[in-house]
Amino acid sequence: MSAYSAARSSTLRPRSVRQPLNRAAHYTVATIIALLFLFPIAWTILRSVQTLSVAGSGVGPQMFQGLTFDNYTALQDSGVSLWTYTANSAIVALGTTALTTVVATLAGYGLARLRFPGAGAVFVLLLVPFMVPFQGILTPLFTLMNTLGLTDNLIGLVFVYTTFQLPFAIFVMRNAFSTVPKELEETGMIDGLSTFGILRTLLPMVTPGMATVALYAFIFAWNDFLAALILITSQNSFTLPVALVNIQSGQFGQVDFGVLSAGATVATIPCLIAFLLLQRYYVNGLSAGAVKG
Amino acid sequence: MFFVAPMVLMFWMSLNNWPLLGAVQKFIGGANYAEAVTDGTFWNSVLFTMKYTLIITPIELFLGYALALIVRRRFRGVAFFRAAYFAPVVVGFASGAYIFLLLIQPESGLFDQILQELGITSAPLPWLTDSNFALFTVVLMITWKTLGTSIILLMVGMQSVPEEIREASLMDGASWFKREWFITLPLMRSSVALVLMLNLTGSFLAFDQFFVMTHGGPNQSTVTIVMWIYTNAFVRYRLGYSAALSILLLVLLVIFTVAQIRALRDRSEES
Repeated sequence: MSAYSAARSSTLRPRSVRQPLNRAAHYTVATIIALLFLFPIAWTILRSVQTLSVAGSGVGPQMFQGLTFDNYTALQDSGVSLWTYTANSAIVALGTTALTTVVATLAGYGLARLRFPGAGAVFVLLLVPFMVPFQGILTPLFTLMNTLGLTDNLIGLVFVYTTFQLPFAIFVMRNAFSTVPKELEETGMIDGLSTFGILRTLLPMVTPGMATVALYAFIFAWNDFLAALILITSQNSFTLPVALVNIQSGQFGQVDFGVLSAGATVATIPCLIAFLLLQRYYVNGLSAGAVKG
Repeated sequence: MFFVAPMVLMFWMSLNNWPLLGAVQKFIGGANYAEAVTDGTFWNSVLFTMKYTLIITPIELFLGYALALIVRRRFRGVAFFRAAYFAPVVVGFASGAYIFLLLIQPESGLFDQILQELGITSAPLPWLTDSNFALFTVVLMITWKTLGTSIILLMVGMQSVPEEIREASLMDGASWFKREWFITLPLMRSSVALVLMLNLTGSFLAFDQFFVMTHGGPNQSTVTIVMWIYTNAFVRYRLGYSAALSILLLVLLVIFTVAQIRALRDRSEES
């Protein structure tokens, strides 16, 4: 086929139908790459239920022999139990999610719809923390939290995480609200609803935005390491990432990588699940950011 | 009346986020800054951070673009592939670091086992014990973990290029490469710019992965700026000095960001 006729025929056919060889190659490459991306996670999960000898015995069917949850039990018994750390992470993550979502919804609505003096200025003020990442203000952050007596306190962590998620979250919610048709609000006003009442009727329409905000907040809070490392000092309150560091530094004598892999698995799975369930909200959030950029 | 509620919340937020900067304690004035200027480790960390950033950003951009090409059209199962490429992103930097740490263990880790079974190597590789290799290992991990974001962002950018333009150029006989380079890419400028900025800034502030995987080793050769700030504040308990370093970091960051914006804006104004 000459290049010209090949070009012609592919514009006449629907875009998604390519020549079979192309398609096969396409799928093969895509799959290989997908495997590359997925195997580290998959392997960590597998590793967490292997014994040490199996892990070192090379790749092959023997990898699946003698699977056991020993690592998890060891993790449970070490330090303060695994469930404490997980619960801590959960508290922080869920707290951040809830707080961020609520505040962002209110603030987003305020910015999108309500006229009040200085709205523009507030919006700009909002963008500032967006541009200054918290790694840049570590020290003063710690000092501030210390003064407020909020160090070593999971609630303090929630506040910090919320603060850093809010600019993005408010931005998303504001966008969400501004796409709601004004007629709905006007109907509400005619019916004599208060501002909060109106807000409540609009909620179903901005649920995707709220889901996006919640998802981002959860993942951020669950995975964060630096802030948790700095602000939490007593073992009882450690979140998962920080607890894993302790295991890694061999707090219990020799570093037990089996235990570490169990810990890593526990740290990884909730986010994966959250992501799988709510994928499109994640992409949603990225596009929101992209539009702004 | 109900105006106040959102407004108050917003003010509370901005208050929370702007803590008292510059805890230059005990009024030693600019002494901290003077020390920072002569601090070898600090400047090493700046150099290292830049080096790391400059290595990883082009890799992310090219690979991200290449992989975005694969998943930008709708075909059966594309959702699976997009999700697969993106999955590592939600794992978290610390978790990702641990995952990789497990993979590179000499006896029980998968990487060395596979390489040895395939006959490529005969002994475990110095994943973290050699300075340059350590950097390579971290770059590998980060690439794995963050490509998803770049892929999706670039993909969205690609999809926003109107189909008619591409088809028109096809009819004119333009090769695939020409189409990408002269039509798609320029129209995706803002996506590319965004990905570039996210990667550059993110890499500049890297901490988690280095802390977990290398602890700044071997021999302090992989210390990033943020890690040095952290070390000064919480290991050496020098909060004032650390604050001074933080401010320097912020200044660098601002310069960096402004430079990026300028460079990217100039080019788009040209076209």
